[in-house]
Amino acid sequence: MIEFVNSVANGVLIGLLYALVAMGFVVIYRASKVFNFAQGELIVFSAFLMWAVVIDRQLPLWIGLPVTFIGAAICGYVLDRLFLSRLVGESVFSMVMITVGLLILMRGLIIIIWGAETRAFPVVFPLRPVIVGDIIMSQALVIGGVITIVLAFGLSWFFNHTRTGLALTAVSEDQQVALSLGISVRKSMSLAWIIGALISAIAACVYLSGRSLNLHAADIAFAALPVALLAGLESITGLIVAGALVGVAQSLAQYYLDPWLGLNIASVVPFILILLILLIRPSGLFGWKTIERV
Amino acid sequence: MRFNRRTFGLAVALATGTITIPAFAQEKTYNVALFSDFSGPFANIMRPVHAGREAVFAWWNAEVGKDLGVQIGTRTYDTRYDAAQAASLWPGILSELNPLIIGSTGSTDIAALSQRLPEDKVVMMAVGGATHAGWVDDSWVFFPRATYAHEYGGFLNWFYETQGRSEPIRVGLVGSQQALLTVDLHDGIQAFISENPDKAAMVDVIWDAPQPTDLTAPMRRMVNAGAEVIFVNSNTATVVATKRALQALGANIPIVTSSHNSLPTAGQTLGGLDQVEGDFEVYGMAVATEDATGPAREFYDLLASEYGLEAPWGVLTLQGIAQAILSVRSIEAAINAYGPDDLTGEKVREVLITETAVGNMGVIPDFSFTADATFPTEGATVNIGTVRDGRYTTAASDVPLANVKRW
Repeated sequence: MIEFVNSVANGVLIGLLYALVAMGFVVIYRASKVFNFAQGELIVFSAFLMWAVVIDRQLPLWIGLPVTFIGAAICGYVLDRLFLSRLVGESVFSMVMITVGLLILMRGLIIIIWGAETRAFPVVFPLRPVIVGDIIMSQALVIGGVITIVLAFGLSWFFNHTRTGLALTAVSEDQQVALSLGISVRKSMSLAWIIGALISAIAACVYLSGRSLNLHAADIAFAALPVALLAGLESITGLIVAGALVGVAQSLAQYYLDPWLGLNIASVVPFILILLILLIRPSGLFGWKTIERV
Repeated sequence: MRFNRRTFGLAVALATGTITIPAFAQEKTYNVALFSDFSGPFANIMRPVHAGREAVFAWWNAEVGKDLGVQIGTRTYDTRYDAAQAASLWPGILSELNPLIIGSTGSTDIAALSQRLPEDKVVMMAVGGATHAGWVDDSWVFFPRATYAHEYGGFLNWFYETQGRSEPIRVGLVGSQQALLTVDLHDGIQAFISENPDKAAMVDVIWDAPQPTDLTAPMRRMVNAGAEVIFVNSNTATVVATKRALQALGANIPIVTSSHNSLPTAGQTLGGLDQVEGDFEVYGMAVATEDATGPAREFYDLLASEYGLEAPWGVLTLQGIAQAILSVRSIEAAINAYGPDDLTGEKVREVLITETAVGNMGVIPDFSFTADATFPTEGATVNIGTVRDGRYTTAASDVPLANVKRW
């Protein structure tokens, strides 16, 4: 029984990490209806920035963290200004294709700037595990889980109760209408990209603390994809539930099904889960239902 | 005729033999295609591997090829450890370069091209340990080392004897099913265990992504299953995740890595060699410890001092050197057997099968391929590296390979 509880607890924490990564997708999507395929590369960019400051330059963490966050924010702003904001009023498909191009561009730039070698990522959170009875959990994931929940409720409040947040939502609804209402679409999109990039920097710290860093760290974005789709792409707090569901399903599958089948079935389980749920609820668990008046 | 000072100096130098006019125009040039992974899952280890092999070709051209009237040209292609990439690039490479040999990055290149190499008449020289791809009939893929199962099996035999065991060693394995070499090791070790149930038993296997998120929960299952050694044969990220999970669980179980995910690389990423204290690495190649002496170290020093090798003395550099030395020696043997003109991949393959691979500069032992295996099983041995008291050192040398039946 304790093994089951342990797997569930660790699954929830991994799921919350996925939710944190997925939050970057959702924030950008909510403000622009663009699904950012380069979200994983934003994580890797922030992580390499952190490595460059703390490990390569040997500067303390209290300098490395703000430099990383400022660098990530600038990166988000520049990407939006250079590529996305020029497409205001164009089709969403064009914008999505731009993010696919960004994925390739950023991978190339990261290799050119920092190389493809595996690096040591700084220890941001203590390595000592959290032990509750017989349950052993990674301290980085526990702290990351708390950050995810706080951030989810904070951003949800921001989007639903502040003037700026509501403006972002209006932009995602219809850019032409938002412009006619006097909302600056370009500023709104820049803000969304800055927030998305900042979330990526936080996710990098939680995910990679005390571990290894290379280009493949970006793959976590694909692991987080089912969480974003399951939550419904618009719901930020819904990511917590979706993340926990995916994480637990994956963890239990890895613990019980993988050894039984002799396969890595756990990597497929989130996608099976999402297919099943989308069959019943195409807009995801908490996604907005669009009602069109004819 | 008027001579200026520079022309006069040149004439004197030529007359005294201080410099020689390159005879490239009269030399025959054969090509080798060097597949590389500069942006894929093994990009982190590619630089030293590639530097090692390029230096060997430069050395051979200058010190051996010149006398034989042959030069080896190389061209590098980024196949990204991706079978689709290798398959799509290959027709162009074949028509453009017409290579005798492909220096491969590993399993994905083999999966992409092994079926068509007999028709294309091009030998593929693998890097690192072999997979069961070397156990098919009429293979054109050759390996400088035995299969990972032979090597890890050799480790199990050694561990069993040095520990004075009477009970089977309880083995765990961590890997990714996206890395074919890990799957191959799993299948091969299962074959070894079925032949040697008194020596080893597989108690648990963890399959995860190439960059695992957190292995604490599944590792707990492995620890509870009583694993005594854990084989980790995929990339450095998996080694790091395994060590972090074991540290979180407070479990002191030695892990066993190979050359591509060696202890120095993993230790550096984890924050120091002390993090991999008591762990092992096993492979059929010289162990690049700091205090190493002998022919492999002397050869490396020669390449570094004379042929521009900038990669550090380390297992990854040796891995590239091993691939290249077997390649140039096979071309050399083919020249000796058939003459320098009209060499083909077929002739190179012929000498690889029929002759003993010698002159490997101590990087890999001298060995023979057998008719049914294009990897060394006769004459080859493995070396075992470890970290003891914070120092990277050799735990055992020339340990016999395990006998593993074809799986």
